[in-house]
Amino acid sequence: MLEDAIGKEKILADKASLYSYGFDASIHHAMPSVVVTPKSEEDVIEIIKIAHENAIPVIARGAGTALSGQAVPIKGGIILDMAAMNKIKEIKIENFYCKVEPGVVYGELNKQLAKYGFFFPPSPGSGDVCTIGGMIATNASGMRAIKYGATRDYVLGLRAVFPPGKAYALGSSTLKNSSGYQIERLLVGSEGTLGVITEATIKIIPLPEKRGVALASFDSLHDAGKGVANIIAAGIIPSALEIMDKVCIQAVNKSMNIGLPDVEAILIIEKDGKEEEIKKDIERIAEICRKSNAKDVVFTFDEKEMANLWKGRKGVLPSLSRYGGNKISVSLADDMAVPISKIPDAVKAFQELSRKYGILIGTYGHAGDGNLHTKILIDPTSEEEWKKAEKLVDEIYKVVYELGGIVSGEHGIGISKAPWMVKENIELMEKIKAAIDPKNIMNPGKMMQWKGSIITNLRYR
Amino acid sequence: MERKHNNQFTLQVIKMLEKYHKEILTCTGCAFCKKACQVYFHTRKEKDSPKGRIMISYGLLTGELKEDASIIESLQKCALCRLCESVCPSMIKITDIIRAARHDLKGMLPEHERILREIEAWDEPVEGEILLVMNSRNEIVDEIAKKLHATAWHGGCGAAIERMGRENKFAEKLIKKIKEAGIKQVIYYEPYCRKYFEDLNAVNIIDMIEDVEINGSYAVHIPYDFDDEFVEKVKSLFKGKDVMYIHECCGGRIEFREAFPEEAEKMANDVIQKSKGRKIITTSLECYEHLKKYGNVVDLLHIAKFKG
Repeated sequence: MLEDAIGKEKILADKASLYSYGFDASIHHAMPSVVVTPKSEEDVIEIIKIAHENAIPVIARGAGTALSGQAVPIKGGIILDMAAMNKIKEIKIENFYCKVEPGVVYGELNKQLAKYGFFFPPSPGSGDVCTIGGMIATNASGMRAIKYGATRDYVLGLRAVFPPGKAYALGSSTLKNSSGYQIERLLVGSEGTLGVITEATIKIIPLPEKRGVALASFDSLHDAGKGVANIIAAGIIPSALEIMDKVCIQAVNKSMNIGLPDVEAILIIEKDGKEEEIKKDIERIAEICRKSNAKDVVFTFDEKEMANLWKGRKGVLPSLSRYGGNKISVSLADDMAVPISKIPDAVKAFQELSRKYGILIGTYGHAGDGNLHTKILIDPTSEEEWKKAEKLVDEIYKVVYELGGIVSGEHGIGISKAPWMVKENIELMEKIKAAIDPKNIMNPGKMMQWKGSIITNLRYR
Repeated sequence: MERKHNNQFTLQVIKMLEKYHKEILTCTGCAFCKKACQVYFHTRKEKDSPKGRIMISYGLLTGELKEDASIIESLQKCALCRLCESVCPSMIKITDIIRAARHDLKGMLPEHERILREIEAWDEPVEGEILLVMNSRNEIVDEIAKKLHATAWHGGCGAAIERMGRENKFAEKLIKKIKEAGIKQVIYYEPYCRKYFEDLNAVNIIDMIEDVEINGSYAVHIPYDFDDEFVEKVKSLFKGKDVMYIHECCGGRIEFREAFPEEAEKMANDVIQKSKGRKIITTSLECYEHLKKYGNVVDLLHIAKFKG
């Protein structure tokens, strides 16, 4: 049926494909029944029509970099690999937007936009490979969200295909839009549970002239937190404000030998803008950190030296994954957001829980917007460790809610974070989903539909 | 297509991928490797990405996946160029895992069976005092042999056999012949051969080159998978000259280009495009033979001035 509708060459059903398309970057795995690689919106319409008629699950997928199982086909069905729809259709600098297909890679789009002195700012960590469609579906962002916001802040318009197989143009190409429901925004963070994005109109802004970076080390988490609060209170909006705790510092120092200060916490602060402005601001930031009891502060405006300061932060993940003997870093409770002022309390609580459960946790992340990443190290082949880790995650999220936070800041819900979503929203989300997707074919079983333990469909054996 | 094997061999096979169990688990699946993979760039299929191959290897290791033609193809459709390793944030030994998985495969691609037969059938006299081991029938091999007062062996060291995942018995036989013939020195070119000649008085031909004769702007192609020592030596030859370096794979390794000619052609054209109109100097006769079909190419050996 699919073959007749879109052509045999767009369908993959061999074992190697089915198995490899069953992964994203989460702890989960499941096999789809078939993989389809649409080349156009017409293809997507045909696929959704067939899926709707036959009640077959459809899971749209970008680069498979999701960290919570969003792209894992837990109910089987059709994986829609959108990577081949990767054209940049328009770049309209004079109108502050570009129009792209969903499979365009974020880094590639910014490379093209840079030629005009513009960019699309959200900067997810996976930016070199992740796709715009995936970014919209998860409301992805990264370390520059403190100044520039997340993907949702840049989505002007979308084209999307919904069951039973109809395409809609949502939103606009204008910067302002007060013309009814912002349905394009409803698709932001929908994780493929409503429709399939086939085109996006994205707001773009001019690239900053220059950047400067400071690294401040603190003997107490509380002082580091005070540093963050004081920088923001001074009215300076950094373009990045990152924190690393002791476990991360030690892991990086052990594996990378770049000599980060052996302290309780470090902050890496970036400011971008006009040259004169950032020089003043970075010096002010350094002064504020010193007044907040920083043990030491260094700063630079030199590209190479800045890259060196960032090296430690970027090395956290690989260092942690090689830090714990037979333990590896798994993606669990790794993306909570808390009010900025609560960061020291959150990190301290995670460290206490780490001791309580005897499980190593490294915490780092975007202190400037309250979004933390906790990396949990376990032996993924041990059932017992998974069970213990699940209890730990439960306690972590209790702390997060007590501090006024939420379950995910930039990675999304999928499976791994589903049980800890805000319960009050679930009923309304289900109503919206049922109205748009009555046969529940769009990425079924995820987010509000997930039931039970997350230690299922594990990719580890 | 099934390769004959006994139970003992099967046990060895399982052990090979088992060695990389922790390494595979350490892969977070972030997919950063995709941005560096030329094969994935051209096919856009998950099974053709480094991550896809690691996951497939894991399936084979755990027994969740049973080998079939699609799995053999996925694991073999990698040029082992190692560019993925240069961008992997977790520093996973991706190509070691793929090599182990290939070693564990029972089946072979038909093209690989043919290549294996052809390599193993190669025979020519091993004689004289110096033996020049080259994996090429190109006339440059005989010219250089003459210059270096060496006897030419055109059958290479069989490194391709190991890359295809099979035991390189060809190298063992060659070494035996070298020893029996009382060869005093072996000269080789392909960096992959080094490990087979460790017990012999062997030297890479790169160490015998004093200078290179070039005029104008060139692009020197040094595949990323060549060892650091070889790369440094090549670079020292071009110090102060107007050259740029290209490290992307041209798809020219025999086992890759024969089994996947379409991708090999695209990869060669990528390298040609990266040279920005400069004449290309390859540092492997396999690359030279492949790239010359698509662009303006010489090999390092064509422009080398030898010591002495």
